[in-house]
Amino acid sequence: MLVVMALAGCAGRREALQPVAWSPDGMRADRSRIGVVMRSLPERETSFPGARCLMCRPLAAASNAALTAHVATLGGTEELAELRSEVVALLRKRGLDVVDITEPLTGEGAPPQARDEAAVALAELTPDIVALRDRHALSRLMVLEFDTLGVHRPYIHYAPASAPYAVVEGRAYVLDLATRKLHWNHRMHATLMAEGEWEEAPDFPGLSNAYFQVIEKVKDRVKQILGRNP
Amino acid sequence: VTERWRITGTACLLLALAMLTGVDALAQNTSPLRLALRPAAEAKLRWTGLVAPVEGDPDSASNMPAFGVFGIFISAARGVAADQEQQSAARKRQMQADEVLAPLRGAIETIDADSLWLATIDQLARARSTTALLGADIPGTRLAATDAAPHPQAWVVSLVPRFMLTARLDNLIVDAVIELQAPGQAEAQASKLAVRVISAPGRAGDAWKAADGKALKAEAATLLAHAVEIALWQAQNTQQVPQPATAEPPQRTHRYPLADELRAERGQLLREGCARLLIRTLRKALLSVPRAGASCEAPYRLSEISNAPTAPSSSTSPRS
Repeated sequence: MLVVMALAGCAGRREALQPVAWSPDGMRADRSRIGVVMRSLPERETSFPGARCLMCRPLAAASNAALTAHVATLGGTEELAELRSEVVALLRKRGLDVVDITEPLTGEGAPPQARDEAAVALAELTPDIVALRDRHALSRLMVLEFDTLGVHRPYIHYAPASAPYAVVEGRAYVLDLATRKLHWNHRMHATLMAEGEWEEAPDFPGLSNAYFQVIEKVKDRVKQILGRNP
Repeated sequence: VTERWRITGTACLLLALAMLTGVDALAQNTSPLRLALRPAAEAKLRWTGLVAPVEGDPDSASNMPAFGVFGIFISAARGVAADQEQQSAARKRQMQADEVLAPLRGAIETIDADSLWLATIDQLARARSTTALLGADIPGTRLAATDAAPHPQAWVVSLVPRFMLTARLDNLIVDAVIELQAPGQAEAQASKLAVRVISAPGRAGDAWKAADGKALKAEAATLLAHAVEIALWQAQNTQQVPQPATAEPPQRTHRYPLADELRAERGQLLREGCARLLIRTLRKALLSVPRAGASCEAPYRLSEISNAPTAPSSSTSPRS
């Protein structure tokens, strides 16, 4: 019974994660002052989805130790930070009053219910967001946050199910700081396999290249949405 | 005093000799270059379609319980099956990509390796603005067989090319494995380099079939000649100016147009010109790509590439 309830809960949460379309007209009309900020980036990690049993996970981790060590050294901070400045430029081009907030948000992400239930009022603003609102006199805040940067390798318990692939996952959203509603909610997600061979320890150039390619892919998509005419 | 003058005179003489040697080394850079082109052992050229980048498949991960010890056997069997499925999927992707060649089969059939090498030599002679290339009529300049003796002053260039076309026939690409043997160098010491050249945009679809496929052949020769140019530049550069590790250009993500999208490649920007970027990829191959929005008279001319060894910060953005 508990398992059924847990699964139903998970399914319900996924359904609630609705994207909210980008619509800059309202912001332009009410002369919103919008801040653009990026949340501090997570560590670059490998993950082995499917290797879930007690022995599977350590086995997968051990057999991919060289890959994990390399992934931890992958950069991309500069390239991801470029997204913020490019978004600022795009919004300004569209006539919006934009504040470029260069220091990253370092606090915990938005409350879980806000992350899962788009377009629903937040229970409360986190202290770091409140601080930004007050410091820059913002009415809205665009947050660019990345949850996953690295490489995934699917497993069928003990055995790899596929070659590893580069993953970038995150979310971009606009928060109305007065009503605490989400005005834009976009899931950033891209994956890519290495071109050709991937087992190239210790530097894994094919997979590393794929990692930087998915960063660009995610950035392109965000810029495409913000840059297109409504 | 006489002794001091003698020492000073000897030092001056040695200095002058050293300077002359330096001048000679510089002069070599612009002196006529002899090339002996050694074609691939395989006479048939390889043509394929370019496979599109493949996304990861998170659904291939298992969601089922492991079933204890039996799980090891079950997962091993499923792992083998998944491996075979992926190999099969890769073959299928390649076959689908190869379908792009169908309308060009006639044009491709007309391009034999021998005539392509001659066209490549011709293109090389035309492309080199600062150094003259001895023609195919000079004995030992073009090797008919792999065991033929090269001209004693010639660089021996061995080529194994593979040509690819993008899905909408927007771009022709050559992947060439190039072996270079400097004059007087033993064959075992030859340097080996992978070079990829992506054609300049502007020709697509039926344009390749123009003049009974001559357009395709001309572009193939141009790309191959450019690849050889790059390999020669790299070999000469490595020989003459060994770069310390600290002078290496930084790793950046570079963007370039391919078919209808802007592709990304991580690597070091070695040179940039009006129409091209030359990137050393993470796999240490050299990649020559067109610049987005560039409109230049000579889209492949290496001599246009500046000598600045470091990459400018704008290299990640396409030229608009």
